[in-house]
Amino acid sequence: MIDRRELLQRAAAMLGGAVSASAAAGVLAGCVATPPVEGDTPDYSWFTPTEAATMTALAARIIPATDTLGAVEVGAVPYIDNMMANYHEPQERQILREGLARIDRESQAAHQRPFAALTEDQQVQLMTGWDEEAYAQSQSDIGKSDPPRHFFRMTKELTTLAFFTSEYGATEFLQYKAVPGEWRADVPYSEIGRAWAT
Amino acid sequence: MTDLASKSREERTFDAIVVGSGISGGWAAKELCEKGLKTLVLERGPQVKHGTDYKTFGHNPWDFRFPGGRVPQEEIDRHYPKQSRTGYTINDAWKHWFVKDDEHPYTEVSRFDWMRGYQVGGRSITWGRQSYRHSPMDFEANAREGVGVDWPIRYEDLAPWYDHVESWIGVSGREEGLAHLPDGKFQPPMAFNVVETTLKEKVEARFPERRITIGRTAHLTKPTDEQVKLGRGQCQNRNLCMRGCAFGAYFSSNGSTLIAADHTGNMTLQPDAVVTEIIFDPETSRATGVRVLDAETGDRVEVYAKVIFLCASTLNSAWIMMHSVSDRFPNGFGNDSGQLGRNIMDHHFLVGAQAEVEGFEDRYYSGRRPNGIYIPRFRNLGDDETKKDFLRGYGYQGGASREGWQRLVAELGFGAGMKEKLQDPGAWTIGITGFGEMLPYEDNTISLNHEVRDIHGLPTLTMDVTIRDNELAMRKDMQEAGVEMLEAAGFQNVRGYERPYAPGLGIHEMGAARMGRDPNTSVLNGWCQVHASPNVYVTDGSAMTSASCVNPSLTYMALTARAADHAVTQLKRGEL
Repeated sequence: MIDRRELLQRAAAMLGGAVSASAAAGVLAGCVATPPVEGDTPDYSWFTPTEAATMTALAARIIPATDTLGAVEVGAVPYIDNMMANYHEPQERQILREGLARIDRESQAAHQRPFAALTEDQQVQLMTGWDEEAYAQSQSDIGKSDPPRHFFRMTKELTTLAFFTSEYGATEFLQYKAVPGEWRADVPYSEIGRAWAT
Repeated sequence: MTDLASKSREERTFDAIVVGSGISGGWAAKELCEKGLKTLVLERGPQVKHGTDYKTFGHNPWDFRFPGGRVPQEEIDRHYPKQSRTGYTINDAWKHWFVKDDEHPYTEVSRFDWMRGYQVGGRSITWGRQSYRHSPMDFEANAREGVGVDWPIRYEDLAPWYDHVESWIGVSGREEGLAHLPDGKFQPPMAFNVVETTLKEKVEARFPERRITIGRTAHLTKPTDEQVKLGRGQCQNRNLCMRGCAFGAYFSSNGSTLIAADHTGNMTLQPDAVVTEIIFDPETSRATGVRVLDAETGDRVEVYAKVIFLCASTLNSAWIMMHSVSDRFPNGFGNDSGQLGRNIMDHHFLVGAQAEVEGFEDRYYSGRRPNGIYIPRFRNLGDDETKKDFLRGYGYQGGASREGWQRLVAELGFGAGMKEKLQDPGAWTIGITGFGEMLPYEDNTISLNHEVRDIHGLPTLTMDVTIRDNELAMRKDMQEAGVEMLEAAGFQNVRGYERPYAPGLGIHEMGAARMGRDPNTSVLNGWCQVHASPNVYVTDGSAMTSASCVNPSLTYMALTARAADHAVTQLKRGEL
């Protein structure tokens, strides 16, 4: 029987001698979310500078940097910008855009400052209200075939997706095996110790 | 581009022509070449070389232009409005294995989901790989119930060919000793996780007529020497199969049959060759060849052979026959019965049950098993106990797993606490989905549409196919019995579900040129030969007389291998 190492070598040879999967993927990698470089001013194609600042604050509160990196550090904001510019339907773009405008309106009304300029506590307090509103809406929408999307739920979804499909989120925060080899159907969790990314 | 046009008539003459290179065409190619026939394989789409042409094989989620492989909505709207209907087919990981709807349109009288790929290997690259035998009951049902026409063959006719095909492709599975789901030649089964084991124990104790087994799937778990020599290896449990497998661990034409056919030196594989018509000689009542349109240049050329295998997929084999009109066959090739393009079937699904499972938080798994559990049919097995108010039956496919990082998006909360929770897996959940048999209805049809043309200017298809009362009654039972089993297992928050199903979405199109005993009511005989032109064999899903409720590809392969053996025997006897 062929062992796993030999299979991997054969697969690598078939991929034209690529040493790693990432290298083989290079052609398509143009739009991958990458961590921002310090001091770099990101060039957004969909967000206005104000919206980008608001989204950065939202992402930082949803998945904050702790003893591990947070969503902003792995490039969630350019990711969401790309998603909005190229991947979403016009209707969804409008929901997020109106949501971001509402965030600043309510922030101004409550604290006379834009959302990005609030303290973390103030941000979290406002976000908790929107989170509850989104949750209540999702509960009352149960059973509806195509319920309207709530901007805060969208924001949470996009931030989470950005974080966990990033290389850091998948391989360091969680764990990931490109080629598991074995299927071990029943293993004590203590032996594995962390959720699989996929 | 093909270079057929520049060749002499002699160079364009073969012993056999195989139209299509998918599951069925690959098998026809292998068997005919191994039996010594010089064989031309015509594939309408481009070449896909095993390994080197699986361009996303090594991608991690973050390696795609957008992580996870999401395709821009605008691109979906323009090219894939129908091919995206499954919810999973149009992803950068594998969308190149599917046609563009704007290049290959079709017309729906009522919704019909026709998921397909035009390339060497066809849908054998993206198939679900579940591999089950039809049972004796399946071959007898039409005659017993007076539905459609009788199959001209019985299980015993096909059993040795199932053996032959399973041994060669490699099917992992467990023997169960069930008359209604015959065992096969299996490689070692994949294992259940702890929740699936619990389900099995509880359900089998409560319902003695029900069985829960592991999916029988065309993956190598213990490759044979023959498979290793062909360059195939053991499954690595990535569960990214639809991208194409450079390990050759699951069965595809590209990684298996076409390689074996090529090794004989008897195969000429011609990509980019769209077959438009079968050429018929009324004096001999034999086909003499086919007309080919070069997909790139538009050049047309004829190629010739003693025997022709149509393996272009159910609806496209029927298209070729309907498009092959002559004085002898004014209504389509071999269509004396009027049955060509009728009796279209699929497996109806998107109905079942799901549950959450408390406990087992200390248990997990490692690897991504490309397979699930299978619950074989347990209705209408011939006794009073299992009899229901509908005909035939259904099986379930499903599985249990622990929730991942997606789970908290819908819940209240965010921030460091949520982030930390997501580092551990969530609760166990389980789901089972029924796949039900659809009866053959004469007025479930496809027909040629000369108004709507494809990218080559050829007529297209119009589909008029619906499910009826029998399927609707079955669906009700599929949901109820699913709920009943998950409840019997003691799981929590058990809920049935049913989503709207339209024919085609099972991607198991069948019928269109059914086999039968009587030329007046069927298109093909018991060897898959066209009644009125015996040197034309049609061995893909179009030959199916009834659908069973099990995944059909294994049966196409067995029918094809059996037909190829017959063709070579008949050729030697001078009877084709």
